[in-house]
Amino acid sequence: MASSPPRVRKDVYKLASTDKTLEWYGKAINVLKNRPIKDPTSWRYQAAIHGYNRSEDPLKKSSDVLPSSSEQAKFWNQCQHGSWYFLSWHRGYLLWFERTCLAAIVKLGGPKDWALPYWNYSSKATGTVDPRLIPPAFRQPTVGVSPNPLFTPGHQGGTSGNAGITSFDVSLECLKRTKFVGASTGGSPGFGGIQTGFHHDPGTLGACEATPHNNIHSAVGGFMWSFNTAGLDPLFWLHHCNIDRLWEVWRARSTSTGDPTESAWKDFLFNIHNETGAAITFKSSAMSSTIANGYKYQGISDPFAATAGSILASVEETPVADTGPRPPAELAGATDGSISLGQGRSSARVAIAPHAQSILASVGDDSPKRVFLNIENITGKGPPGTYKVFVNVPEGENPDDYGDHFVGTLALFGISEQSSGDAAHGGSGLTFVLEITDLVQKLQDEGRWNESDLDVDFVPLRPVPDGMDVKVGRVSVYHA
Amino acid sequence: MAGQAAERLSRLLRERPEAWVYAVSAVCWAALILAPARSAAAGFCLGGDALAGLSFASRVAFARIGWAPALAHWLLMIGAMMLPMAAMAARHVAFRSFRQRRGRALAAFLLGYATIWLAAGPLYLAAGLLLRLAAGGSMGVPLGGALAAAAAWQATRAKRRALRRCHRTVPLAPHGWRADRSCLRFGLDHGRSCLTSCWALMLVPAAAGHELLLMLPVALVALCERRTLGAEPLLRPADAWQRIVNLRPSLVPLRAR
Repeated sequence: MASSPPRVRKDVYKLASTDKTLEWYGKAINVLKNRPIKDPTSWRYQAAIHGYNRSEDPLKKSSDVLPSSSEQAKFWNQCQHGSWYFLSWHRGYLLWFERTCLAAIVKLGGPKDWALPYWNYSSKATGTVDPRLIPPAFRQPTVGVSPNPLFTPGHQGGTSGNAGITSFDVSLECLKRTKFVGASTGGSPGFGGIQTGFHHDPGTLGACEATPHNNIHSAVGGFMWSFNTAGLDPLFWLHHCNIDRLWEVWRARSTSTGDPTESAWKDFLFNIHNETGAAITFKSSAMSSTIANGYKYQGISDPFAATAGSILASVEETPVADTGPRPPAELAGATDGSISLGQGRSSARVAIAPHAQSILASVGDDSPKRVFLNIENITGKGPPGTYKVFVNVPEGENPDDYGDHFVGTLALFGISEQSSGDAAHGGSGLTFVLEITDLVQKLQDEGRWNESDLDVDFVPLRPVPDGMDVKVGRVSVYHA
Repeated sequence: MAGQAAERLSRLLRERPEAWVYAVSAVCWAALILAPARSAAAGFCLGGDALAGLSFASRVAFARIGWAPALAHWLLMIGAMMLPMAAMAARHVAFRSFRQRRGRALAAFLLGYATIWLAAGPLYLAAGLLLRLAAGGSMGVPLGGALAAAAAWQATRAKRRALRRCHRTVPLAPHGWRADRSCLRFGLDHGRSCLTSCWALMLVPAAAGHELLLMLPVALVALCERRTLGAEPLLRPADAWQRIVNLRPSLVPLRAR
């Protein structure tokens, strides 16, 4: 029997005006919403697979009959963050959600080749279309006189669709990482994250998970602000299709070294239900290929290729040379205490240990030495804000006037969940690793490198949401 | 040849400083398996026929003789079963410290961790002994009670919370006495979470006279739930196989990146 051609996940901003993809998506959502939470193919159960906390459930009813606690333990709160399973687990999650929608669509007489669309917020604005805006179909609470099944209350920017997403949020620098697996030891976080066991919490974030993934969650807001409600926003699934697509973009790049080959990654088993509601397991490695799973993406061109039509094509190509075995990164200096982040600029000074000063000073001498800024154990509560991070901005100057000292963003999606003692990882908080090798080299070349201290500034990217209270546990510098 | 081996060892410890923890654990397992440890165990376990025909007072008097080897045995048992539980936290301590003070940081952390379990030792010994004395030297009743207590504890919210806290990492001060203090404190916190999570499971081998045949599966259950489904206690025997499958990759040593 000939197998069906792969279904195509299309760019939501490139759908033809006659395209029915979103209309069928809305119909499927309505079908799933009519199923009780106990049903694995229901809208709420599907969202709970990502995360569930009864006290946060915006759709909770006294008549709810929840699955047994052992079923919840096995199938709910499964999302993998701060882990090398981030991409493979979310691919499986998307796949069976999509098939569940497809089954409902086919039952309604819809197309058998329906697929979720993706939201490519990093693509170039053309004419009146700005892909950084929330796609129009998701903005209005009603369609005609009926409720819009694609609408979710609480998005930042309201019905304007302008959640304030900036070029920092949609940066695709993560694609330049050549290795999938990162280090848990202060060095490169890799494209796909660090080696962990089951990891339902952010810890040290992989490059793709940190940006753009976390940034979009933090910018869009509403249900997207929390692990435990994100899956209730129809836009969540388009966002994650794009993250899933970026995995394909990364794999297709000539500098990428491919998926992990360790059985620790390949053989890890996850639990989920298929579109019939039957419990199944899937291996992490079964998610390596989209085609083998019956779908592909409309576009996986390299945004850094010279001919790509992306605004990012102009960014200088500097592949991050993190190939080959290297000794683990080592601590060069760290703050002695924590730093509070607020509505304005916050600063930290990292004292570089005397023994490490000469090592860092050699970064510019054609050495393969690399330098990483670790922002460790960020804990807090409230909605997640996003901060820009600058290094060694001259005292008294405005960091925003020193764009070449910008080293990355901290988008704090998941901070509340990860800061509670009840969190899967006991409240460790988030840890970001930003590579600063190029900046250190530049400062040394220009004779502006300070051997004994490194100054770090945190500046809110957008006005910080009310109620956010954040503390960075430690800022450290590692060399590898 | 010796030089190469030394270099390999040095590289191993640089990349996997938590290897120390596994090495000490392996030594403890070896000691437990060897005869001297078994006789030490017999000294305080007083199980089975050893107590037959003795009055309760005689049994208590007889039991007192066994305290020293019993505590030594407890130390070995904790080293064998509980040190691997702390391996990932030890790795965190090692890599979040300057390389020059890694050994000191690990020592402070493990001191804190072991202090909690060692402090709990006499309580376990007393509980195990009293149960067996009251049961007339029989192993079945105390073992059944310990298994029931362990099963009940597995399903509690406190157990789940403690298990989750076993995955907690904290920022460590980099220099001087503050660094020592933060490593020690992290060890104490980690030990407390570990004891809260596993106290009932550890009753099982304690009640059964620390039989190796029971220590091994208990250690495996504890390691499975610690490493494979970070958030959730192992509740259903039917899920055990998947947890064991997932344990295998999680025990593969972390490679340097």
